[in-house]
Amino acid sequence: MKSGDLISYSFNAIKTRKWRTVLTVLGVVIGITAIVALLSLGQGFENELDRQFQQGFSTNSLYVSKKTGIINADPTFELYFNDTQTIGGFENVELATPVFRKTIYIEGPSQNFSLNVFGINFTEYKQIFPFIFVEEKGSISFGTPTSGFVIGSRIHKPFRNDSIYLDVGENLTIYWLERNGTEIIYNNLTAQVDAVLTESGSFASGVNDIGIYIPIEMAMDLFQTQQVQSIIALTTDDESATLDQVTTQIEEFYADQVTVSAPQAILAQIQSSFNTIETFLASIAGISLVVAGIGIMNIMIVSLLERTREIGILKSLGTKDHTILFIFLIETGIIGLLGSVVGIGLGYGFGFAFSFLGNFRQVSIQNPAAGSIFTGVSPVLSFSIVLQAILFGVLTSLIFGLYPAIRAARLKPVDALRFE
Amino acid sequence: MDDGIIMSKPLILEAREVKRTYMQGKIPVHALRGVNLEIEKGEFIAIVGPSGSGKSTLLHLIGALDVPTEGELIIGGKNLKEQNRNRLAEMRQQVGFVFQYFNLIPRLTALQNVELAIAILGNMKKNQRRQKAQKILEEVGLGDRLFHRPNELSGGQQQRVAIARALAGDPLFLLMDEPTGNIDTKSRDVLLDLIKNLNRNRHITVIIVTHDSYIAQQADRIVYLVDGVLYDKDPTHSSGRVFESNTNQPKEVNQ
Ligand SMILES: Nc1ncnc2c1ncn2[C@@H]1O[C@H](COP(=O)(O)OP(=O)(O)OP(=O)(O)O)[C@@H](O)[C@H]1O
Ligand SMILES: [Mg+2]
Repeated sequence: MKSGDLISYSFNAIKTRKWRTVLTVLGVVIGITAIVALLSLGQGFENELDRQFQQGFSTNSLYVSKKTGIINADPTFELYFNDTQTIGGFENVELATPVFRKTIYIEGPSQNFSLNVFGINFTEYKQIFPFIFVEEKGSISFGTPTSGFVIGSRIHKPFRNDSIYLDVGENLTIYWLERNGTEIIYNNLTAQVDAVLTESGSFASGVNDIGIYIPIEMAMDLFQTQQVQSIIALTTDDESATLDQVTTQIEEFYADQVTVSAPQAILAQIQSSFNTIETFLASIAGISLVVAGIGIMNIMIVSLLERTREIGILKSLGTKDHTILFIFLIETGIIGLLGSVVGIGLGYGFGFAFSFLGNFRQVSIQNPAAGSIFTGVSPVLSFSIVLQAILFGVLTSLIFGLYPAIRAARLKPVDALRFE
Repeated sequence: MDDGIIMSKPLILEAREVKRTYMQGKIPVHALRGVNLEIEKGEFIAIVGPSGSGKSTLLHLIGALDVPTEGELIIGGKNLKEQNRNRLAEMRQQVGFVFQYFNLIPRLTALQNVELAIAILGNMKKNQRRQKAQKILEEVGLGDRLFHRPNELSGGQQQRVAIARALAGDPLFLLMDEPTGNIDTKSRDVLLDLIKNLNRNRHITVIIVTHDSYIAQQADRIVYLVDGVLYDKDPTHSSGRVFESNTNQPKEVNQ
């Protein structure tokens, strides 16, 4: 039999059991949808991660913050503004800049949001994050003292569409609590928005899209403290020897009460934990495909029993064993292919749905960290993902279809013809 | 070969002591008990015999659909038991088989059923194939039933589709198991003419199992199968013994 005839014969056979085929295909669809949603989001996530890291980190920077945890960490230890100078004076350190952070509240349309205010040195900060500490609107006042706010892009446009929540020139009031002995003091400050920053994404450490930036002096004045949350040190180069040397120097100086981390290491850590999650989810998706495979096997065995006579007829007309094998495999292959193609489309769609939900949660939830993992991540359907999905769907179908196909091929013509 | 010299034509089939035993669970059922038969190329042979005597079993063996339990069966110079599955399939391609129970594929139309037989041979373009299938169906009087499925056809019509299918692949052998059981005498005569034509003009070897003595009379030769043994004369006429009792099985007739 010619291959064209084989395919049309198989198609005809599939057509006569439409519903059963649809249900079997559905099994494959579910498996492939899950896999594609996962892979395309994973790809998008990785692309976004790369982009953000390239923009948001200098490879020659180190982050110094106080050590946390229970072993060897002194809870009373703090970093102070003056430490900036100390660290800046170390060998191979070109520049050190302080980052102050405090959680405050702003009034939302229906509820209050908690966000972070960052106190930084605008000029130095710009030097470390030249691509992301950039105004989209208004202007950041470098050099000249200011009492205005520089806000992250998501405070300006929470939904990333045209609806503006807060614009340049408008006033924003921030609220925070203070303890004075046993008293609770409610504080607030109203100031004008000077500038809106460009969107940076959730992985870049330089700019928080839902952060408010003020000069460090203003922050210390406002919150009556000399403590800072971290100090960023810019090293003379990004050789690992240099980074190691500076790290050790700082750690030793602060009696091991600080953590010094390099962005490179942070990236690797995020990627590896993401890979673990992805592998875990992929195996779940894989299991659903195995279930689909068993479904295919089941349906092909039923089909084998139903069509035993037909196989006998084909054999009596001189059809060879391998042709019967092909007919069966083509049928399962078609099921696998249909399932894969539909699954790829659906999976990609689900990827978008997930990323939309992620973005949506980002603004609707009080805790800015929650839901941020998908922020700015759109699924990416690369050629290799499409190929993998089709290969996976079709191969699973063929593997599970092999046993019924072999049984069909091995049937003896007379026995098959007598089968009721 | 048709040069007038009287000599025997080459044997196209040779059966020596062919036995076929089915296992019914643990009990052996001896359907053929040692069949000897020689058929020359181009012969038209009728096999007659009572029900259950092994006619279908023998025809299946000749059609390479089955292999003998014992004995030699040589078809077209090939010993059946020496052929692998692939070769057996190739042998079946040269056989046009009309089954006792039609064996049409239910989901295919009459035309598709006939076309399929040609498609399996893989030697003809789709268009030609369709034309040929249509022509043969017209010859058996089903020109107006091309697009009917088997369940939309009468028994006799189904049988004629089965005949058309058997003829479609230009077989060297035409094996027919009760092909006229369900058709009227007029269609029967048309069919008989068709078969005789193919037999005479294209030297197709025809073996037909039939209860119809009229058809049997048209054959070059009639053989009789009784209880798994083949006779070249009707054993029931020489003695009434054969059908008298089941316990007294007939001995093989020495030739
Ligand atoms: N697959 C099988 N398993 C067991 N016994 C079988 C099988 N096929 C046939 N037989 C037995 O072999 C014998 C011959 O059967 P066969 O079908 O060849 O008879 P037949 O001459 O064609 O009969 P009929 O004229 O009724 O068609 C019967 O006794 C039948 O019961
Ligand atoms: Mg029979």
